[in-house]
Amino acid sequence: MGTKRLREDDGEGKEGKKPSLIRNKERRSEAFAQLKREKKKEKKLRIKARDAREKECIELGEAPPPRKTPRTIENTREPDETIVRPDDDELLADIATDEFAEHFNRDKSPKLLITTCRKCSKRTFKLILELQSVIPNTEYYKRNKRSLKQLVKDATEQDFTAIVVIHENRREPDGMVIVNLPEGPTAHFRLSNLVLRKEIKNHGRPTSHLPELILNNFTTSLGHRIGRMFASLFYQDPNFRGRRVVTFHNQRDYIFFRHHRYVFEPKETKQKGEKKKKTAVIARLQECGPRFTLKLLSLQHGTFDTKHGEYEWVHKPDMDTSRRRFFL
Amino acid sequence: MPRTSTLEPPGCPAQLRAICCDALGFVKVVEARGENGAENGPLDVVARWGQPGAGISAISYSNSSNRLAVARKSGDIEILESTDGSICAQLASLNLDAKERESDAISGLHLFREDGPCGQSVLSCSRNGDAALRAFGDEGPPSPVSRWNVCKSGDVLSMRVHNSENVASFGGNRVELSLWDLESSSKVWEAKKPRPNNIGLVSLPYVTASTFLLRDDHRKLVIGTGDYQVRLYDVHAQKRPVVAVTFKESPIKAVAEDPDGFTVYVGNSTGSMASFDMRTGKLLSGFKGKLAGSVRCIARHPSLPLIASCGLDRFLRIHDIRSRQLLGRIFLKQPLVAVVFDDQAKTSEEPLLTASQEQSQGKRKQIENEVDYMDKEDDEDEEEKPRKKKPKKHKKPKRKQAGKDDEATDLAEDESPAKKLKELKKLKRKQNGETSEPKKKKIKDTTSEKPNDKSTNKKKRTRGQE
Repeated sequence: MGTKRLREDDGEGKEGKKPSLIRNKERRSEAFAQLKREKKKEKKLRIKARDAREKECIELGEAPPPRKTPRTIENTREPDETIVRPDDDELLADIATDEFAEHFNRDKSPKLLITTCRKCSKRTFKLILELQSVIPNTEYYKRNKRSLKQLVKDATEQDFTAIVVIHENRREPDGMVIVNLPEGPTAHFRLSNLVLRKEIKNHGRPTSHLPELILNNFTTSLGHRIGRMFASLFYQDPNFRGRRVVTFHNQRDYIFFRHHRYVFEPKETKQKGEKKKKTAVIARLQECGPRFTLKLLSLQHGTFDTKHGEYEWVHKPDMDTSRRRFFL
Repeated sequence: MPRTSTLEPPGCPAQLRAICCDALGFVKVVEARGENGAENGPLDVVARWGQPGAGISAISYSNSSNRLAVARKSGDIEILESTDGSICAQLASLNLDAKERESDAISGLHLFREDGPCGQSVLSCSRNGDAALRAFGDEGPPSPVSRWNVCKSGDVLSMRVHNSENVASFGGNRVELSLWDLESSSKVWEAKKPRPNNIGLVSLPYVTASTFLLRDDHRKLVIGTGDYQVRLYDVHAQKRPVVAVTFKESPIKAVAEDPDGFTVYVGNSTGSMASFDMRTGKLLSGFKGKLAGSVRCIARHPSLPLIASCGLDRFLRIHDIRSRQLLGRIFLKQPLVAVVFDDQAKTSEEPLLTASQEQSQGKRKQIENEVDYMDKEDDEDEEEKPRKKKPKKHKKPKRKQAGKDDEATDLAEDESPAKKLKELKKLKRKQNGETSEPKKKKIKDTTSEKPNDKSTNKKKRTRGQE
């Protein structure tokens, strides 16, 4: 009675009012909770019916009807013509001559210089210490008041292959710039959701074995290039016996960095309805080292030069007009 | 809320053919294919010429002779037939030392018209300023090289040869924009650094892109600088830029002129594209639509209202000029260096007056006149000129010319209220700061005038009154 009649249909489409139209918070949350309960019940009934149908079909010897796949954002991603194909001869020619070719041809081994922005806090230092344990062959240099361009020159003279600069905002690391040397591309990332080793429950301590590298989902041409850039920070010879793995997992343009120790173990599983126990070999993971998320902001052709540099890819707000479009 | 569905760009006109070159060494021909005889269609790569490894640093296309000159990283120049990509001539690099060749890539290239003054020849300029005019023949020994040095230090980044093929412009990083006469290989004109800014700093020259604004007049040049400016130079007016506009915050990588004689399309290194009116320096429009990386080259179609842009994001895009809409784009897998349009209709390149060119000639007179207004030394004279010209301009469409002219000359004797109203209106317009576009001004011989010469300005006024 108290509700206003603003529209013709009072949200009476689906057996009763929409909870969002109820203005009283308590009544609204009750209505919503009830709606959720009903939906859950319906879903259970649907699944039961589906399983029963499948069982019947199997008993009859027919093929059961195919299960519907849920719609996800990754499923409905906008078709991208830049997605890299393994049989592309142009791609192979490009890879053979790009800035990372020397690393992949094993002509150069990685040597990293890590530094920070000019005045940084304790948390950034801790991150750097942990990164030094993750990425092999890194050296930390204090930034003091040096300009990045000068640093690039000095590092090239000393045969470094890349510089990693951790930027900070409000005493929290929030950006990462990876400058490949001598003339390599410069990638600028936003760093977020940093969790240091001590903050992870049941963390492990990493060893000094060369880690194995996993690069997931770098599908487009730009993504492929970024993936190669990450790969060029690590040695080409992983020590599998060391059971250490570093993962860069790209999902929806966010790159998740994880560092684990793993172990293969036989595990006994008991399946429903079967009396025998099955033993399967599974990999158990123990997370060690920092955990953070990166998002690519720009990829610049050439070394760091914001004034006169050319950009290969820059994030612009009008790229975000579609929720199904991703660039990496 | 952001979209959840995709929007396909409308197709490009079916007679479109563009040739695109990339940093790996491929030359790709892209055409628009209309499906089932449709007018517009998506872009598709029709041919791919070249081998990977010999990266391309500069190209030049001659529409009349259907030939494309391509300069490779090694310094060699190949002249290809644009119909099938076969090499019809090759010019070896002038640098004999291998190390020199690597660092001294060719940054400017021009292929001359066969029936033009230079005949079958190619002008190339390397980064160190080594300019060479060489003829290539189908038969016979190679003709002697005409070679000169453009700059003592710095890198030459941009070279353009005017349509008349008598004059070429050179400019680069720490290389001031200069015009050279090709027959005598001598410098005809050099730009001057702009005045120190309010702090007292003078910016060093950093020409990243340049173009001649008009097909039949080599005196106007538009350049893009590494300090984010688009500048118009008038050779006969002054050595400093006549119009200078700052565009966003990254170096301008590509500049292309429109046949109308005043519009210029500009692309910068963060992937922004816009068009400017160089008469006033006003930004006319921006081009949006899938521009993610540095725009290395912009090409304007000779007849259709289209522009092609390509760059480091590895896409070739076609935009419509009037609606600024993205008509089509295609992924070309390699970082792109340059794009040219192959006009299927094969319009002649000689300066025949087409409708647009006639307009541009008329407007050119206006440009010349307006260029004087841009000089700040002429401020004091601006007040008097608009008063006399405005009644002619604003009332022309409504009343007959004969009557109006009488009114214009009788300005001093305004006693009637109507004329007083006119005076008030003029004053208001003057207050609003409108500058006029005097149409009835006679074409001046601007060669003899100097910018700071007040006596010549007085001469102008008297001429207008006559």
